[in-house]
This record gives sequence, structure tokens and C-alpha cells, in this order.
Amino acid sequence: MNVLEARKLGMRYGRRWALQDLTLDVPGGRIMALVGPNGAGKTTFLQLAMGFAEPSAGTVVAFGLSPRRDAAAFLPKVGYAAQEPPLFRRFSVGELLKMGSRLNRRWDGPLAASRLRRLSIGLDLSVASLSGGMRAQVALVLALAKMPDLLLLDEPMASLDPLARHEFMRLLMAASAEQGLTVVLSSHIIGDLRATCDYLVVLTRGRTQLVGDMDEIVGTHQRLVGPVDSIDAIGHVQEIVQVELSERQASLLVRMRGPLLDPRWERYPVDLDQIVLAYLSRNASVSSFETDLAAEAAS
Amino acid sequence: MIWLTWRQQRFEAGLAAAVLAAGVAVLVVTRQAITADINALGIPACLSGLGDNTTCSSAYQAFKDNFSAQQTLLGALTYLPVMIGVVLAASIAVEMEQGTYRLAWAQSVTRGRWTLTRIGLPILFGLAITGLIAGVTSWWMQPANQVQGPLRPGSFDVQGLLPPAYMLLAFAITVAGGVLWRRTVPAVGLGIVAVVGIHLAVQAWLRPNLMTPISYLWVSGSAPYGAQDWVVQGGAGASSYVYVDAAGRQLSSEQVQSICGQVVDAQSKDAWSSCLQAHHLGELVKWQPPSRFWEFQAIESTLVVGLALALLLLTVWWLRSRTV
Repeated sequence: MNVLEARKLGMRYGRRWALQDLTLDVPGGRIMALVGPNGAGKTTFLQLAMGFAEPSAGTVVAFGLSPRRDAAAFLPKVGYAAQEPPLFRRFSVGELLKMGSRLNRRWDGPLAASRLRRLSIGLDLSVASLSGGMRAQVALVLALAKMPDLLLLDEPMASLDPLARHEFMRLLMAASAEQGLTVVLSSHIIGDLRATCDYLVVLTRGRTQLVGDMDEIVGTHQRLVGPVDSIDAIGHVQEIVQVELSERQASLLVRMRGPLLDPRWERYPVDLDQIVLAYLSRNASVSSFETDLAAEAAS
Repeated sequence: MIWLTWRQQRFEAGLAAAVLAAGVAVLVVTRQAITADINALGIPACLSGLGDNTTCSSAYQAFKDNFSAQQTLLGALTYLPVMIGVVLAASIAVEMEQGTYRLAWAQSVTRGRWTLTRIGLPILFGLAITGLIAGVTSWWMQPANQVQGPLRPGSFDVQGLLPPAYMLLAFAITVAGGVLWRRTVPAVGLGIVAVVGIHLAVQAWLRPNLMTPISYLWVSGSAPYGAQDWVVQGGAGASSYVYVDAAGRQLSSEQVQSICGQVVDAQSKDAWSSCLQAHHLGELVKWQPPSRFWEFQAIESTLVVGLALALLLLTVWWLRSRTV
């Protein structure tokens, strides 16, 4: 059962299309990673899914509801947190919880308070005094306290250091196990997603390059190294995603579709970063993404 | 939503209430002094036509001198409602700049209810505060209104319907700037500059032309002047003085001076008055009588409120359909 469905979804600001012709299903109960370079349209998609704007083209439907026209029925079912989460700076953490309890019929205040206690975030702390990691955690706790069926997270960890990212992911995984919710998490940082997310969508310029179960994707992709002259033979059986040629040898990133019979080819495992990068490279504009990956590797 | 709006704006609300309280205290104290001053100068007798013209003339001059300090206070009060409107709207501009509105939109209240509460409540609060201010200043102005009428620029602006009306306009312009621009400082700057500019333009050009002035002939030095003459002397809404002779022909002040000389001291002033009478010269005064106060208030506040409502509609439409 799909929780969220986008059909030929597009959004235009003036003359510029921020998102164009996106068709995407989000299956229920999954933690979906929405991966792509900056400008791929991830934020726009999530904002349309939240009903912040009316799409310029196509439709988006969640639980059979339009996020905008059926806002009163849709909003209680969905939680949302964004990069550098916009929290009221003059509020204390406790007042944010009070805000949530006032603005939501469905609201689990005690659960939120106990999560914050476990994170050692005092209710009397002012929002302005929190670190970036704490703010992201508070935003996630707030979104979860709505007891949503669907949680949309827009680059929630973009400004966090690796330790804070790890703690954020731990909180997200524990909560999704407890509450049994569907999560869409957009990110341009791939490293942490393998352990957390069980579904992957690679998006470039509003087009999905790769969609599927995380384990299946990682399990079926391999690097094959072998003689250049038999690339075509490999291609008859396997799906070749990326080709790198040196003088004698070819290095292929393939999606395995059948058995590898030719003993001249050696197989190596690949990690998620390499798979994603290979699919993005099939599309021309990957420069910013590669820069992000390089920066991530350097840090 | 009401709690959230209050929590987001309680600082501004407290500030406005504190200003109101301080203002009321100052006004209550000074009103006593003004009333005492008017009585001590014997102005009530002048207004009922019982005083002689020379004594009343100097009493009026003395009142004007004494009242100039209070006139400065009025100047400060003129733009207080504008500041209140801008400050209340600035909180929404900050919310647009920091993007915190999305946190509210991600809760279970619909956009329509958020918009209505977030914009409607500060407006109601601002109207209440500036309504109170206008009530107190109108009461404070009563004694001075008797002397100089309620239509003088400056005093007209702090009474009746205008303070809430200009508060609303300041709020509407600032909130429109904040929502469309998403920058607090430019929105606040726009709000202040635009409203002060509109107010000054209305005061200088529009207001005198809203209703055709009433003309009447004023003959210098004839019998003790009545209440109307003194109110005109006090500067109430008079827009022009023209010398006319018995046949109704206009004379320039140079022509009149060639006949009756110039006024340099009290003695020459008496001679001047007798000379004007001897030559049957009078002054044709065009003025707006104090009785038109509420008509002027109604016309100007309708224009101001209409402009404000148009901007608020634009803002609400923009928030509901154009803001992401």
C-alpha cells in the first residue's frame, strides 16, 4: 500500500521549474531515503507533499487526501521537520511542546518529554541556546509527538556533525520502530542512510534514477573488473550502470541480473555511495553532488 | 492558536500596554494644568463674549505660549499609533524571515485559521490599545478644543477615529512588506516611511479640500468678539484670510497697509483696528467650523482604513496561495 503518491508532479517559480514531471510512490511502513544533488527538487517535493504550495502541474496524494484541499484531515497524519529547523527562538523547549499540544488534537506530550529527557535536553532551555544538533533533535521530537503516520524530513541532518547525525538517526530509528510510521528523509549525505533507511530513491532534476529496496539495491550491485573486449558479453546478461576503462581492463558497475559465468571477470562489492554516484553520473549534472561527496569524505 | 499568537507577541503587547499606561498618566496630570491655565487667563469669559478684545487677545497669546509644550507632546502622540502598528506587524515579518511559520503550518491547524489568528488578533489588540489612546487624548484635548477648536493639524490627528485608523494602515503596510519581502528591517522601514508620508500628504493637501470651507466676514475691533471669532483666532481649521471692502472687493495686504499703516505695537494695533472700521474694511475668513470634526474624522478614516483593508486582503491572499 502506498502512503504517498506523486503523479507527473511539477512546481514552477516564475519561469524556473524547481520540480518537473515527478512520478513517485512511497510504500507504507518504509523509511525512504530521497537522495539527489542540490537542486534536484527534493525540498520542493516535500513542500508539495506537506501542502505548503499548490503544484503547478500534476498531483500529490497522501492517504487518499490532497494535502492542500483536505488539509484539515491530512495535517494530523503527517509530521515535518526541515534543515536548520525553524523553531521559535524566543520560546523555551517546554513552550514548543505546549505549542504542539495546543495546535494538535493528536499529541503525545509525555512521550515527547521523556524522549527529550533521554536526550538530556531540559524543557526550560531556551531554543536560542540549543546547539544545531539539539535543535534538529527537538524538531524531530516535535514532529514525532504528533503521532504521525507519515513523517517528512527535509535534509534534517545537513548542518550536523557526524556524531549528531548518528544520534539523530538513532532517535529516528527507535521512534519509527515504536510508532510504526512511514518516513521520507531527503539527504545529500549518503553515508548514514545505509543503516537507517530500507528504501532508496535517487532523484535528479525531478527524474527518478533508481527506486527500490535498500538491501536489494546494495546486494545486487557489484563492481566487475575484466577484459575490455568482453564488455558486450557481460552487458547481455547484466545491467551495466557505469563503465571505466583503463588500458587493458574495464571496471564496470553493474546491477546483477543473472549468473556471472566468465571466469576472467572478478567481482568486488560496492558501497551505497558508489552506487548512487554511478546512477547520478548517468545524468550529466553531478558536479555539485560530487563536491558534496568529496567534502564528506574529507571531513 | 490564540495561545501561540499571544506567546509570540506578548513582548510587543506588554510594550504597547506600558506605553499606554505611561501616556495616560502624563495626560491625566497635564489636563489639570491646561484647565487651570485656561481659567486663570479668563478665556471662558472671552468665549462667552464677556471679555474685552484687548484683554482676550493677550490671554489668547498667553495660552498659545503656554500650550506649546503640550503641542510638542501631541506631536509625539501623533505617530504613536503608527509605531504600535509597525511593532505588532514586525513580529509577523520576523516569522516570515526566519521561516518559523512552517513550524506552525506543519501542526494540525489549517492555513486559513493560522492566517486569521496570527493577523487578526494583533489587529484587534492594536485597535483596542489605539482606541484607548484616542479616547484618552480626546478627553485630554477637550479644554484646548474649546479654545482653539478640534481641527488644528496635530490636535485633530490624535483624536477620534484617526489613531486606530493609522495604526491599521501601519500594520497593513508592514505586514504586507514582511510577507511579500520576507525581510523584517525593510518591512519595518517601509511601514514607517510610507505611513508617515501618507499622513503628511493627507494633512497638507487632502484634508483641507475634503469639504468646502465656510466663509464669513470678520470685522476687526467691532464690539466684543464671540466664541466663533476667538476659535478662529486660535487657528481652528482656518485656511485663508482675505481683506475685503464694503463693496466686497478684495484688497491685498499691501493695499490695506497703505491705508492704515502697519501694526508694530499695542497702540498701533488699536489704531489699525479703528482705521479698518473707519474705512469699512473687513476680513473674509474661510474656515472649517468645529462642528465638522466628526465628518472630517469619518472621511479620512474611511480612506485610510480602506487602503489598509485592501493591503490586508492582498497579504492574506499571498499567504494562502503564494507563500511556500
